[in-house]
Amino acid sequence: MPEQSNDYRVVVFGAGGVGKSSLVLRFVKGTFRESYIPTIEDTYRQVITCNKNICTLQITDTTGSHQFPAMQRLSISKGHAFILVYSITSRQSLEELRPIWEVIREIKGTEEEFPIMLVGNKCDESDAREVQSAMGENQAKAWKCNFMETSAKTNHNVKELFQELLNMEKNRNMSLQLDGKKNKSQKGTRKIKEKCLLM
Amino acid sequence: MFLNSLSTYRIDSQSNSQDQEFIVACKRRVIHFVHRWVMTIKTPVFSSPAASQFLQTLQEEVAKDVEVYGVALRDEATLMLSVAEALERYERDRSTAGVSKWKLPTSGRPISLFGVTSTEEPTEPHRAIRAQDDSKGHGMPEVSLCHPLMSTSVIFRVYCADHTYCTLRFPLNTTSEVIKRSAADKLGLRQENLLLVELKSTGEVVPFREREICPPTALSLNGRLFISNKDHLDALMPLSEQEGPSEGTINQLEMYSTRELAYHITSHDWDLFSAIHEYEFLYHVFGRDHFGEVMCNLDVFLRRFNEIQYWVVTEMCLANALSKRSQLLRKFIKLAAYCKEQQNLNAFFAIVIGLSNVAISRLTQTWERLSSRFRKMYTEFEMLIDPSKNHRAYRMYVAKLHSPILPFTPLLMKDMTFTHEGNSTIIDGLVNFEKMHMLAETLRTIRYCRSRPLALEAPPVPKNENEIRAYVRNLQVIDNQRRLLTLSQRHEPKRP
Ligand SMILES: Nc1nc2c(ncn2[C@@H]2O[C@H](COP(=O)(O)OP(=O)(O)OP(=O)(O)O)[C@@H](O)[C@H]2O)c(=O)[nH]1
Ligand SMILES: [Mg+2]
Repeated sequence: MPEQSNDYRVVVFGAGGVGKSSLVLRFVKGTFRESYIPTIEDTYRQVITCNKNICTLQITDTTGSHQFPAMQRLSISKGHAFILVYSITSRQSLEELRPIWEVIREIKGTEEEFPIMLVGNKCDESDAREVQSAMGENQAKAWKCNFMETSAKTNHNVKELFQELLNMEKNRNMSLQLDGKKNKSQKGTRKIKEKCLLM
Repeated sequence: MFLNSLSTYRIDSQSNSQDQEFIVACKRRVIHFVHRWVMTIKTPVFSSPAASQFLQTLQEEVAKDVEVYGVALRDEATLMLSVAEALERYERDRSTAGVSKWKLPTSGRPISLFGVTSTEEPTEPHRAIRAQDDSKGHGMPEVSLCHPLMSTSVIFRVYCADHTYCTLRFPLNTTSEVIKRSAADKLGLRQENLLLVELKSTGEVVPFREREICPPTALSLNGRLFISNKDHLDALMPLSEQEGPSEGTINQLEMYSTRELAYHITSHDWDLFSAIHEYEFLYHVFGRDHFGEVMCNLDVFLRRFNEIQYWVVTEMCLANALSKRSQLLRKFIKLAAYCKEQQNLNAFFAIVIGLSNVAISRLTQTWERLSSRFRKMYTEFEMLIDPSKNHRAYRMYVAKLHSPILPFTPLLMKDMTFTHEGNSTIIDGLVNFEKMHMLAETLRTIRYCRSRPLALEAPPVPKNENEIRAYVRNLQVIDNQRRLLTLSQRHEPKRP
């Protein structure tokens, strides 16, 4: 049943319109839509393997607007891992992640390590690029988290993003694969850090 | 009703035999009635297309009749003119101010729809969903709220059986059906055979009818909106947060002075009460799906009654040590006394009914520790809430009070419901005015209660004012009677 301790909760943050919902929907349902419908807060569930058992990955897709600070804090305190999304087409969207990162640090403390992925989305839009990959990587180093560029539109690095996040968790051994046949694509996810190709 | 008035007005066209004096008298009566009616309630008439259509028709006929009957109807023509002007003014104002008739405060959450509410925003304004119009005339305080983005909408969650959810924002007057469709779309459910239901903390399922308005504010205290296939309703399990708190707030309560608590409870309740439009009582009595009009302010206020009631039971049941429990019992009795003094009879009833809940009344050891002074006080309170002879004790008591009063609202609702269910609205094709008079009587009581603004004396030297204010707005409760009883039995097991 829900709310059990073997739930693994991932929260996705980022400015409005960077593609948080698109990434989550691409991952959970395999779909993409061009239209933009702002989110308030939605959750999704996905079955994964954890220490060879079946458990659920719960993904919380949050709002990019700043209207609900209380909701933000609540989902941070409940979350196990975080995805911070910006759009490579907007420098501002990367800058807007800083306060969120700080609040996560404040609420989660520094004692325990918790997985965070910094994600530059919309890497298909190379013509409009404002944030170079190196810049994202540097930011990730400063924040001591991992980094990846993705495209929800072309389905580039989406699954890999979630697998990498699960790999970062030291306390559990998790995989997106359900069959548990130990085909953990550790190698695969390492490779992914290479830059996003031009489309 | 419009047909009624019009046919009375057109009396001359039906019976030629009657003398002119009688005809004019009839016409006069209709016009005077309509004038009074419109000027009393204004907005709800003006915003109804049928009503403004009726007003136009009537005005045209009056204009024609003035030529026939001359001076006999001159004053009446003037009255109709002023009605027409008011209607025009309303339409002009509305087109400049946008169509929003109802407003929500900054928080965008009329009630703790998200379960866990924050105490992080203690300065947020009161959470009444404000009826914008008509308030000036009734001595109600004008409160300015309204985040432009938030106005007229309510934000809430709809859950699936697996406890994933989507968060939606809709205008207050949205029907259950629209919410259902949009939630199904977002959650990726197939549209057939779906129901939007309330799932109570006890596991009880209450489906919403398709045309019911604004389900989110109609929920019970820890109830949540769920969407589910008709055939799988049995499988719905409450969220763990629906259970309510597992620890009481006695440490906080001990720090707050009872008088200050009462002060903040009453100010908040008053805000909520003032925000209710008189018509919401009628909408409520006739049914959520009857008029298609918003009644959220009344929802919130009725909910407040239950909130206070279950807060009292919850805190008592979560106080583990016997000594703490009896201290708390004293505090609640004192709190009831303050509320009564402040004429907040709604909260007074809620507290005393809470204390008389069997989960509390059975705690013999706790009650035994009460001094005779407190026991006497409580006995008097019990007499006041005694429902026998149709709440005679309370009715006598409240009749002597002067405005401002926060009346025991569930009783008002009961009175109106009785009137409504015991009398048909239409008899032989005519509006049953007897019934309308009876309903109006209750509405007049409500109007009297708020005919003067609340002027409470603020408690001296408030220490933690913001904290207390936030506390009384965010009462966390257990509303599952079974769970409350279990807790109670754990404290004081039944003696052999
Ligand atoms: N080209 C391109 N467009 C994308 C990509 N991801 C999302 N979009 C588009 O960007 C817009 C916003 O996407 P959303 O996923 O709704 O953005 P969001 O971050 O969830 O926004 P909020 O919910 O308001 O916080 C939509 O029009 C998407 O179609 C991407 O990878 N590439
Ligand atoms: Mg979104």
